[in-house]
Amino acid sequence: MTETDVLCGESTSTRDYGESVETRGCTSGMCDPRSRFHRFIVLFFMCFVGFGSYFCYDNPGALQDNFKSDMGITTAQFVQLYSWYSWPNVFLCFVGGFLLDSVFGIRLGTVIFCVFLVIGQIIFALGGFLDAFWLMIVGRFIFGVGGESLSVAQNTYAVSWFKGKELNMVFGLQMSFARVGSTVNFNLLEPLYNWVHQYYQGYTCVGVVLLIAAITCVSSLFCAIVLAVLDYRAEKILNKQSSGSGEVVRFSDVKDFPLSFWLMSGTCLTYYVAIFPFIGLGKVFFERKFDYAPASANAVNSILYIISAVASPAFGLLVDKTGRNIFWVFLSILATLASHGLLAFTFINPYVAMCMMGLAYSMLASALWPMVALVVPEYQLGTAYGLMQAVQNLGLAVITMVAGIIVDQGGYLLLEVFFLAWLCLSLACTILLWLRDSSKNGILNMSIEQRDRWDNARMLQESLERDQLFASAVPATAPRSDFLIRNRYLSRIGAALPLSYDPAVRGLVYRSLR
Amino acid sequence: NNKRWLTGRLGYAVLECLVMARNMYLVTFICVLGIYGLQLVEGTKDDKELVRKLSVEENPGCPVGESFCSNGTLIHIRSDSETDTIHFVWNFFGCPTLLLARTQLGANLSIDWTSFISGTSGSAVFDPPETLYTFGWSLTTIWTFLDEKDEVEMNKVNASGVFGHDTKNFYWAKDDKDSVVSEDLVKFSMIAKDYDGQTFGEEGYIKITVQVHSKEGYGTVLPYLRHNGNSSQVDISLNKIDLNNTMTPKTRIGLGYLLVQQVPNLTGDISVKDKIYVQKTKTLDDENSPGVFEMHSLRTPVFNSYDQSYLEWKPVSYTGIIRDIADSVDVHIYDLEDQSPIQLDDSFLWSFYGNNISTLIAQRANISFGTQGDGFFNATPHISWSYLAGYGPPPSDTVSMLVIMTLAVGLGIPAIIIIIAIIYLFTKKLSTPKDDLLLGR
Repeated sequence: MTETDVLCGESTSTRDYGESVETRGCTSGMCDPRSRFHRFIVLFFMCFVGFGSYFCYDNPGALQDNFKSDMGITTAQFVQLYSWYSWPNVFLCFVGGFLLDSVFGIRLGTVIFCVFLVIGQIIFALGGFLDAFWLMIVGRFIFGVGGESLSVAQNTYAVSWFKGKELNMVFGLQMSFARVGSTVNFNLLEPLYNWVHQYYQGYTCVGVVLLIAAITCVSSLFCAIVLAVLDYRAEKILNKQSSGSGEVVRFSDVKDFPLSFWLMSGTCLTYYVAIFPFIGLGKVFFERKFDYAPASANAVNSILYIISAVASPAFGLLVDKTGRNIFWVFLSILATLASHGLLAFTFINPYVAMCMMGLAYSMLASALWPMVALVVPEYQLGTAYGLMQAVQNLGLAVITMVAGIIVDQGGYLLLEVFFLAWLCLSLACTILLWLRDSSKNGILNMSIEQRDRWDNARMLQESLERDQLFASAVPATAPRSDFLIRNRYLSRIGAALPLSYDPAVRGLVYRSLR
Repeated sequence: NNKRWLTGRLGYAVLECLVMARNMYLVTFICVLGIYGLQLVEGTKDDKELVRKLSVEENPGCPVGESFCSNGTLIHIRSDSETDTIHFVWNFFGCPTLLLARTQLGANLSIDWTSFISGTSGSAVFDPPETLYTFGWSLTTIWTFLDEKDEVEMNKVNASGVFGHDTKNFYWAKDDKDSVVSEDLVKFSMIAKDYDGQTFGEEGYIKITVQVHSKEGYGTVLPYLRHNGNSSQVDISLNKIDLNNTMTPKTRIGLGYLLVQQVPNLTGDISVKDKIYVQKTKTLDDENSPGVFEMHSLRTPVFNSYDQSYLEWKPVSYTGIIRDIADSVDVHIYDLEDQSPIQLDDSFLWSFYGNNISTLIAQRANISFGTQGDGFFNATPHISWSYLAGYGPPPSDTVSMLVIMTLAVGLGIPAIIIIIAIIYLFTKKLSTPKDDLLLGR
């Protein structure tokens, strides 16, 4: 499988723990890096690396009213704790993969990002001790630098240690673990705050709680170090070169992206801004409107994450089996519209709305991200996913701030209407995407059998073209751009791409853990 | 051939986009028209409501030069419509009291001042004396209670720590800086700086501000209560007060009201349906008071199918002089207690109703302020609270135009796009045969 890697452009080869390799050192039983047990250990550490990041990301949301009363801040100031987490990731989405490939390498890169995580959270806690809100924002900024890049690192580790069908399961497990981390945060932090409140009060209490939360970041760092050691050891034993994250980000690719891709980015952006800022502000909303105690309000907030932990793998399987991605996206946006509508205009138990939102959110994540791989060629996927995530983070950064201002000036009904407006825009984008796609080849909404048939027909057509080309001396048309030349070349040589370049799996590497 | 095919597709795509843009413009245009139409309709609805004219007199008929005229203030606000007059008689001689009376157009208030000052009943009457409806309430007590265990509510704390201070022992002075008198708005403030001769200190005061409007609108400070032409808004602030040295770091504040209503055809026992009751309603819309989704009110029963009054407020009070959402604490209303036998002493209600208590029902209402963990009154030490009092059904918040407009446009555009898309796909399927994948592309 390693031979064909050379033919695929500048991408570095992925590590392949196949059967026929030279080994040195310990290769028996648990020691063998190829053994199931060893890889299971590695999987465990791989999943735990992200735990600290997701646990601490929603710390502000779980303590919203405590933050506001202890630090004396308004909602508009509070949301900046979320907004400044997203700002560095507008740029880091592009360079994260590059940093991991060329600058630090996967092992050192992961450890460095975890260090950022720990330092960021500690500075965040320090802001609490010193009653300095600006310091808290600095801490969240540094935390953000580490957080998102860490998920790219996690995915890269996964791609290098697992392959084929296993990879699907590993990605699913990582995602579920991340969600469990968020759920634990919401359910643990209020009781923790109440316990610390017996000994400290005011902003010192906030500082102590955040410092205790930093322990999870330290544990992530520990897991990253262990992973680095295991990875280095495996490399030495199996005598392999270091792996890369796979794709290079080229900004010149952007002009080749089809309209479908931009509509997908629009859908992604407009959908996620109606979910994450809502979770950040949800606690006080549930306390005020539905008269929930703080701990119960946190529990309602966490329902979305816990449902996602279970439902995401299930929906991933569903979409894999049935295809028809746009239909699922459309359905999930409708469901999210309905749940926000319930929360805004009725007093029905919020658990109903939040469960529906959790299911809808899982469905969208499973259906939307693989679509990118269907419209963008494989070697541009790095840029595509990087761009989509950058746009998503930009939207989150700006809209979170706006949401905070809306709550202060206009109340929660207006906030919900604001989110409903964004979801309507998302719906419009999806419909336009469907129109655009059905006017081309309709692949995004085909079922799996239809796609296979379409793929076969296309390959047949290309082989016919190839025969035609060899039959005549002069090429039928002059190629237009780099993009088309590359396309022609690849289809002509009929290269069998390695499994990690399989479109179905490829999409998952850069799928965001959000 | 390829070039032509490409330009054909491009042209087609451009056409698609143009059609889409045109449809979106059409949709937006229709929505804007619709909203404009809605506003017109709402505008005409407002015209049907009677617009009132306000006029004010202070201490009416008090002989000039008499010393007791400057010992207190009585403000009589008339709100005239075309068919009747609503009187808001605010009395600050003794307990702050409001008498709300609806009379025929042009009725005047006449007070016999000598008897009024000496506390004789029936010294204040309307001329002509028949009234269509009356309702009175009086702020009789200011409660201070010791909340040792931070239980917040007055009925849960130890009864020995609850002190009531009679408001007739305050001296109320009118704050002329704050007064406004016009046809549309009457506003005045009364400030008390001492209790029973002891002053509160440099910055201590109790301030009551009254605003009477002639038409619908929203308040100017949080929580932006919606008023109409038949209501007056009362803002109460207590700042750094110390009553009889009962203030401790764990003291909370409460207010005690006496509510009196005249019930027609009252015979013998009072039934529950004749009494004033507490109503707590949940509202969806917190646009004007972010985070507050409830409205509390004290409602009188309805007589003659329209006559009724109310006290209405949002259960939020503020612990800062400048009201801010971050400084808000809860307002608690306790169950009303009957007052039997009826005692109207020391208030204007005695001067007005006199011995004519056979048609009266009197109840006491208590309110307290605070939230668990707020640091008690001493934290700031300030409490301000606003409520509406008026005649007729209480005004309620409505969802604003902004919300309706956003939803109409937001849901309208995708709906229109879906319809267009379905039509487009139908026509496409009917007009072009299925392309042969190998040859056409």
